Amino acid sequence: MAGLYLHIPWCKQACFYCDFHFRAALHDKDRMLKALSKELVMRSGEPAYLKADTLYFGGGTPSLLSLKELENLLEVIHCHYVLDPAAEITFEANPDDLTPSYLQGIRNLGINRLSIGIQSLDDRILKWMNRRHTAAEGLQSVQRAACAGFNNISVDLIYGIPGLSPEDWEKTLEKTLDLPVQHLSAYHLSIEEKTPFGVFRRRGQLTEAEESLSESHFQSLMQKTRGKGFQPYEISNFSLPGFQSRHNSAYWAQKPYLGAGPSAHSYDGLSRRWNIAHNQKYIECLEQDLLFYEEEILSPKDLYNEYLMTSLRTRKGADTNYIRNQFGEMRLQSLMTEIAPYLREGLVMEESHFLSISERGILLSDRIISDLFLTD
Amino acid sequence: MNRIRNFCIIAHIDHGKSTLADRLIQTTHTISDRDFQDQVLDDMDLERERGITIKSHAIQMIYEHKGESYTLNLIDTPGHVDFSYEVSRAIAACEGALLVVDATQGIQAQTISNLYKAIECDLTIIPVLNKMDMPSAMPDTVKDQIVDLIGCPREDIMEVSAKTGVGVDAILEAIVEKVPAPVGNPAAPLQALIFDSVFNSFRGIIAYFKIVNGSIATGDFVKFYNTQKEYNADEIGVLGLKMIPRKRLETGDVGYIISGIKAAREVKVGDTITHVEGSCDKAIEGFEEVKPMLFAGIYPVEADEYEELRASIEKLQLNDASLTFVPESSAALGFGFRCGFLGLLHMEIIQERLDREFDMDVITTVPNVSYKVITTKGEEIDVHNPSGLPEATSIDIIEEPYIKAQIITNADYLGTVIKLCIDKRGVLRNQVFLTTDRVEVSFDMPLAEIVFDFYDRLKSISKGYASFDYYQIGYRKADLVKLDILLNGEIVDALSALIHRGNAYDFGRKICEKLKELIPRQQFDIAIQAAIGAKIIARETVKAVRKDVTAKCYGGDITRKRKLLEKQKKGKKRMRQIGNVEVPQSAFLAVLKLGD
Repeated sequence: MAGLYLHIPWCKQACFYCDFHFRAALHDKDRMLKALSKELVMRSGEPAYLKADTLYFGGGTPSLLSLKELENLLEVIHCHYVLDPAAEITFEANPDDLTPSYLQGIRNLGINRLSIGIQSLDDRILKWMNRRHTAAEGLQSVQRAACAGFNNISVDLIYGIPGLSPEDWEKTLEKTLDLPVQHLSAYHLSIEEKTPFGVFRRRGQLTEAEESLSESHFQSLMQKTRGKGFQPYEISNFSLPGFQSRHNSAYWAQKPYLGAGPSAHSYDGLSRRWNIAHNQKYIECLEQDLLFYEEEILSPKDLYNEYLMTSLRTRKGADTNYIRNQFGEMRLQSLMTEIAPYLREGLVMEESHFLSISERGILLSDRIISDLFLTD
Repeated sequence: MNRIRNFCIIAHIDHGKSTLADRLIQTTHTISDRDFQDQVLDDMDLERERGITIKSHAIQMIYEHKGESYTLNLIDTPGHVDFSYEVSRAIAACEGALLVVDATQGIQAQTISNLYKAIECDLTIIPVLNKMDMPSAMPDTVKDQIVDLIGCPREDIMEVSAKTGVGVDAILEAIVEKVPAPVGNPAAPLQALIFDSVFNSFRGIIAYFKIVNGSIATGDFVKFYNTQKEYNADEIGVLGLKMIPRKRLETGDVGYIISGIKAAREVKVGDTITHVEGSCDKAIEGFEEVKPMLFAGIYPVEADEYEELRASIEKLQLNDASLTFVPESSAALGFGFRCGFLGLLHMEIIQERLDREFDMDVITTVPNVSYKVITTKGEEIDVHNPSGLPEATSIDIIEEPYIKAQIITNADYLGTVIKLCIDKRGVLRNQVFLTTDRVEVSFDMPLAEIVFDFYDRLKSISKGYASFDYYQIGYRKADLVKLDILLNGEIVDALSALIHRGNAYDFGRKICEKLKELIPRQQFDIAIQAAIGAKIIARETVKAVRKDVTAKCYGGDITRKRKLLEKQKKGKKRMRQIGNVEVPQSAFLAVLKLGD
């Protein structure tokens, strides 16, 4: 079963940390949606994605879609793809877009999982990140969603923000976990080159959080989520039992997924491809029945590195049986030698046939994973 | 023979030697203006492809003067103190020298030492003031310096601009009129001085020579006097921009010989070529075996590339006879080679060539000079490696090589230059004011002291207004200790150094600080310690990394994340694991950069 992803490439304003693809200009919305539908139709013949059990509206800001527009997109999918009746259908939303009637509308259209970007419960920080909502709106939107009948709600939070005190972060976590939410994505702020924060950093106006602060935030995160019965199942993702994101989990489990829309990524088990990250060009190509994308055929080395990277980011870890079957006994033996120092230091754990990064190792996971990579 | 002129150019780096040489080549139509660019470029390609150095070790030019045709041989000299012996042999092959001085800068130390070599060989000196087109030229001051130095009439100093070409014709005339024709006996047995050699991967070693007496013909059976090896002269010829074969070369001629020699060590600069039958009865004076001055370990980054490294060094030795190597092993670095170099520049060249020509990733360890140890039993041992030092109890005396250092600087910086030299254990021997604001000082100094950041510091304290030259003056008794570096409690033998006792504390502290900068943080604390015997004299700590994670996996964009981590891995690849510590290549040479 495959995952389907639709990229809705607009935002009303730019969050300063974000480097996903979007345009603030909403014109050509109709043309874009036609193009997006056309891509879905054109690619419906690709065998890897014929049957899907997850559907994800991401962005950008999907909640900028009108109910009618969303309905049209869903219709195209139902027409051209076989979507499992029990499919997980996730919709990313900004708190200020979630009016009771809109919530009711999307629920009626079959959306059964919401991912709400509340990001912070501190108005000062929300403003500093150029979010277009307040903390109160964030809290309210979750309550409204629950009232509308949503019982699979995820919220996003950002930590590791310089100037966010350990106490304030704990309060944010407590308030958030008291909400009727079943899933939490908590991301450490990364300052990316091509974002306003990246520019601020180059100008010397912004520096990354002190390591000790990151560490303290991370410890609170682990503690508070555990206290509320949330399980960490990936570096940045926590859920109540049974509420893991099936769509995102597919990314980490070598399952195929189709991404439609500008900049969206697809994986069919052998190659990865990504659409052009430019709204206008994307539209123009599809209007001429052309798909504009780049593709990468994965070498055995790439497949191996990707497996380690994605699996070791999850709590479950890398399956040594899988490695033996896919990459051979020799490779597994070498990996065991390479990973031994980390096992010794307790940064990696071995349980039955799984290798996973321990809680202590999580903040060093890039280092550990890259060290285990194969190079040319 | 009367119409041959052999000359060299003596100049400091950047004083315009190559530009002037190019201009002479152009003016004599050795190649046409139109071909000039192309020709040079072709040869550069060849140089890169075949790993040979072509560009004018010697070049022959034909010049018409007053209706007569003259053969001018320009013999190039290497421009660095590491190669001063080669310079002396090139000078010995000439009858005249152009002394080229930058009119904006004046005379520099290296110019003077080469000039003295030329005067010792009785060369006719033609003083030339270059860069006269520059607004900052100070011809009067610099002429004063030249007159003081060589005692020539002031009006003999030629004013030129190699850049614009003004005055270049006059130089050619002066070479013909002032430089004497070579002397020698065409009827005497062959004596030809080898002043340089190059390696060609198709033809082997090509030796460049000047015939002092007698003559040579293609096919002659010749021998090299000092090595006593015999060869057939498969091809001889003269050096235009390319090699031009000739049947016969006579006394005074400069040319090349190809005789199927494969290894550079068979051709020694300064050796004499003669005939096997009718041999000359003695060699040309001045031949010396070139001995390495500086030793360092070279190890492969990947331990399994040892054999490949051996093959690469052997190939390098084919065209660089002054490089020596013996296998050695280190507890920290595994198997590698102890290599001997002429000096620091030579060491850098070898490292660079291993990287570029052989794609070898190597670690070079702290270089040291060659010490003489006299044991309590009275044996004399040459020590090329700190770990080769005998037990302290069995050492009677350690001796280290000394040099005479000559420094010319602006009087404003005299104080700081003297202080630097004294800090480096120098003893002031002489001080001469060349003009009112330029002064030459000479020091006796241990060679080991100039190995460690001397050039760089001299340059920075004098703001570039100091020039430096040296020659060896023998061995003297030294008070040395072995300084060890420990990483997390383990001695890293490759970082050990022999240091003068008085400098050990300061040096130990600085090297710990430098290593702290160079060793990247890891997931645990790293203790860096300097020790003499069991006594720790300095310590620094590299704090553990506590966070190295990107929270977000960029949605479905696995490729991007993978590439980021691959890049991170590549950065780490050039490091060497010592115990549990990853040490970058640069750390092993940290001691050379303590001043930075």
